Amino acid sequence: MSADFVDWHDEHELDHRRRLRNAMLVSLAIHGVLMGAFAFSSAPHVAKMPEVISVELIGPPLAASSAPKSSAAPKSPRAAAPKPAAPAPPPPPEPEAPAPPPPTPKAPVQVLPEEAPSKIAKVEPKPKPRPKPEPKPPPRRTPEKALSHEDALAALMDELGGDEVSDSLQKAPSKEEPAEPATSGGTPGEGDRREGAKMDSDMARWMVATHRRIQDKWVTPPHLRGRGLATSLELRLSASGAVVGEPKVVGSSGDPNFDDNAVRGVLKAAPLPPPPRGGSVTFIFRSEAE
Amino acid sequence: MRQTNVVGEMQNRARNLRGNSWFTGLRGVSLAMGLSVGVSGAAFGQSLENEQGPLPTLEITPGAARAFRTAVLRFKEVGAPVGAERIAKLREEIEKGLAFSSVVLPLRREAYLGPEDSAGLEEAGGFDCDTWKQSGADALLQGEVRRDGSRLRADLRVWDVARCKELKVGSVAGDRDRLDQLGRIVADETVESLTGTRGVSSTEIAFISDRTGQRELYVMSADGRDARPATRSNTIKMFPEWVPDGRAILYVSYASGQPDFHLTSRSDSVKPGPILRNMLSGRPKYRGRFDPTGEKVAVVSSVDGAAEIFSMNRRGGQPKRLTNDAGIDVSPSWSPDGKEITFVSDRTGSPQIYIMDRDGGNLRRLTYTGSYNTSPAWSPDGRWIAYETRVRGQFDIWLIDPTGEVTFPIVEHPRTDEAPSWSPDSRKIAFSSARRGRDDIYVMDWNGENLMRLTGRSGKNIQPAWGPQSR
Repeated sequence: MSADFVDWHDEHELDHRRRLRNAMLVSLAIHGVLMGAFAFSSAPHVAKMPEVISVELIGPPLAASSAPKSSAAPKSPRAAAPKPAAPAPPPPPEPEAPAPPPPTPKAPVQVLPEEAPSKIAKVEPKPKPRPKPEPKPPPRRTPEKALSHEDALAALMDELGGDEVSDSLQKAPSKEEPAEPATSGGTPGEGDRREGAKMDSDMARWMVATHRRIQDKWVTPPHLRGRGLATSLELRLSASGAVVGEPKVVGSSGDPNFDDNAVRGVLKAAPLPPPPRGGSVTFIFRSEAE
Repeated sequence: MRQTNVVGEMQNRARNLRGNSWFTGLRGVSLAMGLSVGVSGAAFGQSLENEQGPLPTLEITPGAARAFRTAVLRFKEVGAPVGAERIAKLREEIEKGLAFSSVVLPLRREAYLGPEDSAGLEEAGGFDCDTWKQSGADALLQGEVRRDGSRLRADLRVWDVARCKELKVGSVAGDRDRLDQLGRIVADETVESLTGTRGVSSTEIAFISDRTGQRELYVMSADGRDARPATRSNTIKMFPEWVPDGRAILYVSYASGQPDFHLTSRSDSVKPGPILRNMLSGRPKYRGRFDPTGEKVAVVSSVDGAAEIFSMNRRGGQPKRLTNDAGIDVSPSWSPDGKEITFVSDRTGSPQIYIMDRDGGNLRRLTYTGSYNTSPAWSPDGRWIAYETRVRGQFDIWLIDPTGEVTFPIVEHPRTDEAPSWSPDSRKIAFSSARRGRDDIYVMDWNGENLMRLTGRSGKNIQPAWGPQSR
């Protein structure tokens, strides 16, 4: 593993890695599913991230546009139904589903801009609330025994590559939502899967390292935070991680200063960690974590 | 089948891991989808880029870095000698101005890897972007300085180090003995080139002080330097209010026994003295606030003993009464688009913040939190209204958004903070506070950081009014 993975004591890094790990694991799974299925319709390149449950292609548009064939496609996992991004009603087993940020009863309290002082109060008649400190992203400790990134990857590769299912994955808690059995259509050959898994593990490492690197270098002054802005940049990376040419704003945030600053952030971070392969990449810069 | 299981489990896992942060957990999922799609695209030979298709999309959220760093080089002397001392002083003043901004800070001198002397501006660049990038600089400020009689002219060029691209060229001139002013203007220009909004180190703050025994109007630099009296007439002065073009300050004087408007001049083109005497004549004028164009004034006067708000044209015409109720209506503050006015009314029994249209219509109550809310000040960018609220017998400054949905304290302190006034860039707030026992003027960033006391030698210092940009 690269040095970027070493510091386990850094909360920020931990959280970050966890996120990517999850992404990675799911990705591998879906990868298989998608291979079996057919190509999905291409969604336009958008700065907005997909709605909760739907599959919205962030990657390059693929050619075909039909929905997954019901016969060939494995019944899609409940939470990944490849529907067009729409505020579809939440799939039943997920009570918490799509609702936007905090499910507040009625009080119209909104997300504070990140820079806002550390407290928030609901607008309501007295008594004057002595607001609690803003739920500072608490050290996000894994409730379960933390599965290291490497373990997770290894387990998943095993799983995808062979028949044994790794214990750790098998035992993953899923009380309220037993995974729905599904009939799986044609999956690609073992060899392909191994290839894919190997590539994805490299990719995951690169993603973690790259995210970290840009985040460290990108200066975001208070007035640009917490405004719900997002800018998509498209750029080309050489195999050594150098940015080739100037990043292109393909999805503007509407604030030229924010767009500009995203470009500055990427270039300041360059050269990026060497990617598994050179090519084009899209980065979405957001004015706040959600 | 296996895959489905894994996905289901992973989602559960994501949820468990992320706890209450559902969205973020799912964000991971969607990110993963981007990834898998990219990969399967490759598998189907539909890639655009190369055999394996583009790299997965990554989302980046802000990290810890909040301020840009700028390397400030020693400006190059051109023509008649300026003197190394002056050049060094100018550099220092530029750095002070940057430091005041909180968003574009000077690069620490210890971090410099490249030469500290600016090349001439004729030469293209004359520095190595990568070296400065490694120093941690986001921007580089080069310049030339030349003497022009008793004045100095500074030509400057700001570079974006990451892009190795020029951000701004400019020219600033000033008294050669006022290098502080010159430096602050250069700093504010530099801030603008990086953030899109001009810095405020060269702006001024007016306030009322009784340091000579009488309440007089004073003006100081936004960082607290050079405080000087703007009036001296031995009568009470209150509520300074800048004319939006910065050429004069309106204040309320009790010279005639009843409160009236006067102007103090900041420019040769404005004659100081009483103004608007014929409007609402015979009635007290407790306070006046200009709309953003400077053409209209919201005036607090009284009708049958109760304070009401009027709107009048600065150049004449009938005043229009905007409020009409038995309670007290005071402290008007215009929205930056000039279409609305926020103010204080006690019509429900306790002072609360309201908003009305500029013609008095569409009245609505804004604050419901707290039993005593006063002194609203609308930020120049329109996002917030700062106000003071009573907490256990003293006051804190809070922000509320104009829809009334979000409100929170900027800073809490057991002693009173009051009379907030926004900087023209909406990044800072000046206010008065008794936190040291006696009232003094302070500034802080709008998120409560970088608190700085500006006054403190003597007397009570109250009612700060942050002036406009000078250009």
